[in-house]
Amino acid sequence: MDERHISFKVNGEAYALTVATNRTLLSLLRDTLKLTGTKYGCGEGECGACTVLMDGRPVNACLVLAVKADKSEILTVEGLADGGKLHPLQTAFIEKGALQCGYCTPGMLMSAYALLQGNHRPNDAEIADALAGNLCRCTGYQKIYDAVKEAAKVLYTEDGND
Amino acid sequence: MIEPFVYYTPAAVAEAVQLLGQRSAKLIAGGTDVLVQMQEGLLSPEALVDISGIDALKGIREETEHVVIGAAATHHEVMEWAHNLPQYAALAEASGSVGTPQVRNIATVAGNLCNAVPSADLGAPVLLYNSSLTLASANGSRQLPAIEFFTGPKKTALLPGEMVLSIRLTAPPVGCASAYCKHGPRKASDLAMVGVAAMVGLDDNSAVTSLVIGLNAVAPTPILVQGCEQLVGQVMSLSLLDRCARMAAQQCRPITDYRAGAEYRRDMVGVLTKRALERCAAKLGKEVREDG
Ligand SMILES: Cc1cc2nc3c(=O)[nH]c(=O)nc-3n(C[C@H](O)[C@H](O)[C@H](O)COP(=O)(O)OP(=O)(O)OC[C@H]3O[C@@H](n4cnc5c(N)ncnc54)[C@H](O)[C@@H]3O)c2cc1C
Ligand code: FES
Ligand code: FES
Repeated sequence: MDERHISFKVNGEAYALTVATNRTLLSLLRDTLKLTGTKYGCGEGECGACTVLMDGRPVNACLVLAVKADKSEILTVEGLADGGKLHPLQTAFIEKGALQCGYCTPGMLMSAYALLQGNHRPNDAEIADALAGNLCRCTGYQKIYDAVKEAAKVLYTEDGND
Repeated sequence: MIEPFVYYTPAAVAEAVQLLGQRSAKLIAGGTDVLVQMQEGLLSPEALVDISGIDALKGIREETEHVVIGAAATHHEVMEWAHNLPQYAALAEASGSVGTPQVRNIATVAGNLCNAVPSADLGAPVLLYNSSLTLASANGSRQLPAIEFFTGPKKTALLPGEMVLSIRLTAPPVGCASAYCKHGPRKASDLAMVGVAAMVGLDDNSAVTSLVIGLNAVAPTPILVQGCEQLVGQVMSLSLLDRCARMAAQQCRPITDYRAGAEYRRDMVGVLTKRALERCAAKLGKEVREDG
């Protein structure tokens, strides 16, 4: 079986390991690194449950070969909280009732996080575009949009950043 | 489960084409088509040749008369580049309509063309620019007009062992704007039932100086609507829109499948043709005139 040695960072922590070339990044994160926050939904790029940030951009971890993570920085949902303190997006999702079963939530959070990096005041249409690759079967989306706007407020007004 | 394969990451084109000379090797760029097929067990190549790390294939380059889109350039990069360029808006809008943000961050424009499904969104937009493709194999390289590249559903003029290095667009005359209108079941992540790309140039009096219309998903390959050049000189009016819509609807050859019926597709070709032309005119700051 073909293998490669790769080194990369996940949530700021450096890893160097050998992976089979037919593994996906999703399987590397979940099965090898035991970071099971990132979910498997469809395995085909349709649902977004596996969304992680690769060098700052959202990608479907199910459609990225693990070897492609070499020399990259990956951010998963486990990397959002600061120690025991939830990220404002996570708090807003809870407060606004933006999750029911929660299966889509890690992916939603990662796409929303990427959006807020570049847009501190997104409107509903911009949020809908940014989350278009994340399906939710429970919430009907409006509460998710509300949570993202709430998080933007908390992140970018209270300390006068924007 | 993806079947095991030998993975190559060539650093240069010469190395890539050598590897692709092996019959059992499959080229992978973004992998959004290849990996889905491998996940589903529809494809199990012995070797994958990943071209996404080859520097010479990266990015988009503007030359005096041309724009060169490298084979590793993603839809996201095309959207960013064409963002404020009305003449290339059809490309930005087509790339922006592909899949989801996650897919657009890794999927390539060249991969979209090479996959060559009739619904591929970049087909018709690329045809608007009298484009050609630079192809290479272990035996050398050649230039092929984009219109000759598509030979049928999932069929291209690529020879075994041959790859696309870049897509070369001819810069449109000044004062042109373009647009891409796609119709599918959902806005996100759905393939086109119909896609119409258009480019229009207008003079100060709203007379047409150039006009090109391309269609996706309504023929075995993307096609250009024939006869548009005969409309140069006419004023951008409602009757001109009607005429273009009729030409496009007559020339398309849609099929009925589980996504849409042929008659519906043909009707939508007319609707979207008008819409695309109206959007071009609006981008040029011109209104479509009522006929007197
Ligand atoms: C969830 C999802 C949604 C999608 N939505 C859309 C959509 O709305 N519209 C649409 O058009 N497509 C869509 N696609 C299909 C796909 O994402 C696009 O066609 C994409 O542009 C393919 O690019 P890629 O780099 O990922 O191709 P890859 O998967 O890497 O390659 C695709 C094919 O082209 C060949 N190839 C790639 N590059 C070259 C080259 N340089 N030379 C020769 N051969 C090459 C490969 O061998 C393979 O056969 C979707 C896919 C997914 C998973
Ligand atoms: S599991 Fe990756 S998109 Fe569904
Ligand atoms: S909360 Fe259940 S899928 Fe979104």
